Amino acid sequence: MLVEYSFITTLEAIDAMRLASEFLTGRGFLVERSNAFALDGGGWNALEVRLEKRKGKARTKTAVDLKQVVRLEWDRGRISMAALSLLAPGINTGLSTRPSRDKTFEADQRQLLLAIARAMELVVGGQRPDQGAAEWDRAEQEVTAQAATKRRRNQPLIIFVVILAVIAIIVAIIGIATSPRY
Amino acid sequence: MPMACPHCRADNATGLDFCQTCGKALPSAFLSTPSITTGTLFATTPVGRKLQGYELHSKAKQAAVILGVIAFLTLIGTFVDMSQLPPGASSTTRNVVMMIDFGILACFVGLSAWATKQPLPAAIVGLVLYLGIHILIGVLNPETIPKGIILKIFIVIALAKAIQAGSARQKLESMG
Repeated sequence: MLVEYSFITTLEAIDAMRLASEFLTGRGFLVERSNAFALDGGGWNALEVRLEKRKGKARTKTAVDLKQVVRLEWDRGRISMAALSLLAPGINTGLSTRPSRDKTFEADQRQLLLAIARAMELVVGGQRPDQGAAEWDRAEQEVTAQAATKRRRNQPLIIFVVILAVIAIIVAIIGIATSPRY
Repeated sequence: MPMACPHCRADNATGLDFCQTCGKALPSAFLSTPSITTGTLFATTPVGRKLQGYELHSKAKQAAVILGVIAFLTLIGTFVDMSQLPPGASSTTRNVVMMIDFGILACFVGLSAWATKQPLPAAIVGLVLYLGIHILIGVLNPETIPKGIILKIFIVIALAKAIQAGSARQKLESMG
């Protein structure tokens, strides 16, 4: 899933990119691509960062655990940004034919990406990193809490199914053992 | 109704993208709210497309790993082939078997290296070569068909996926 957004900043390119870079690396992102040290004289006007929290798809419990990639470009005071939320390893790139796990998971993913876009606007557009971080944290907490609630809601059903399966296996074993053929 | 430039406060006519006084960007209706793209759709902005392009490229580059795995399996196959030759086999037969196996091995090593630069053509050539070799071996000796069938299917699927990612990236690039 991919989010795209565009907003205005009164910061110059280098200041905007530095602020975004500091904010995102502070949240654990690693710089993937940056023209901060480009020798073409174009200045630092693009930044791409990546965050990989969990390695395996099976270990991804919530949308918060997904791999995230954020790219920002400055052009004459306008920031164009895009953020990707990916299921490791490399599926669901926004072009994948494989759908997300379920509607709730997709909604969480959407909520998180929108929060990232709004947070980046607060940080780079409004120069309010604290508010941006708070917005992002709130979305992550909501997604985590929703996932925990869903897991708790499903727990009795899972336990019931497991017990039912165990009983079925025991009955089948007894049935086979007491069968006249044996 | 004039619009004040957020950078220099100069008034500008509505509908302009850049301030006529300072040349900086003016707020526009385009993407004034975040837009979400899902499924097989392409991004609407160059930034989004760049991000998708990089991801697809790295996905397509997995072909290099798959082709490397095929090369490694070919190397093992070479030793197996050599050990399975009858004790009385002539040195010419041994040399021919070894040359064929090492030729195939060299091809896949080369394709793996090529895939790191140009994953799409390398993956296509690799898939065609892999299927061609196995079809030929299968025709010559049908007993070999079921041997390692799961691994063969896995390799074909992985290469097909790399080709899919590579062609999607090419499509994305053609969009500009």
